[in-house]
Amino acid sequence: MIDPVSAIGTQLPAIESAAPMQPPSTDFAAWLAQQVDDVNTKISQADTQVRQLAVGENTNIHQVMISLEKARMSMELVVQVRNKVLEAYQNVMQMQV
Amino acid sequence: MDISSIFDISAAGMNLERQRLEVSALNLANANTTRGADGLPFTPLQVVVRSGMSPFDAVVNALSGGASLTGSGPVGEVQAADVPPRQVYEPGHPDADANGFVSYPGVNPVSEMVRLIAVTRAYEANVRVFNAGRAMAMKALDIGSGR
Repeated sequence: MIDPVSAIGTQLPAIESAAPMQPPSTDFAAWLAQQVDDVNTKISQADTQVRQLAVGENTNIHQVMISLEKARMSMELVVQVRNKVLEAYQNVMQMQV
Repeated sequence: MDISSIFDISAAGMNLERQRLEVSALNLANANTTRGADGLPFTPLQVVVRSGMSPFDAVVNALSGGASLTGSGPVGEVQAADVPPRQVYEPGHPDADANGFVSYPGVNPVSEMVRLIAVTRAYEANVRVFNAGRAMAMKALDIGSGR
């Protein structure tokens, strides 16, 4: 049997009312500190690998380059986050009172 | 899907191509080795490539769609190539058999050369993929900076 034509709107899932935003489990400062720590670890790993390559222990050049690139990208991410935070801070500070 | 899993897969590909190059170098260097440590002529080697992705992973990825593919890059396995030795008539050779034939390894320099080219290009392809992933990540970091 063919179903009778019904109104379109009833078939759409009901749009949920704006759910209250869950606060993040950790605060931003802790997150940033952890990211900086992460970047530091990556950089030191890359540094270790470069040293190993220099003394001939590690012969995998591409592995070293990939580590360097990963470290650089993590660094870039943290720098971008910092730029945005600083921008927001300056915007607030320039507010007329 | 984390972009670093692309890097890991590319790294696995580069590792594999490096391994294939090593095996080719070994084969070419030993093309005239008539006696190894075991007294037999050198056996040419080959790299057999297996997928690092297990069927279970494949199923899970198919189910969840877009899961991380880290650790699913290719894995090379070095095996002896089943090629008959090249018989050369050299009666004065210390490794000659009773009929005066010396068994040289069945290394084919032409196919090894072709493999060298293929390995180089495949390595380049992996580097290209890596660079593409890196460029994408860097572009993503550019979001919002062009004012």
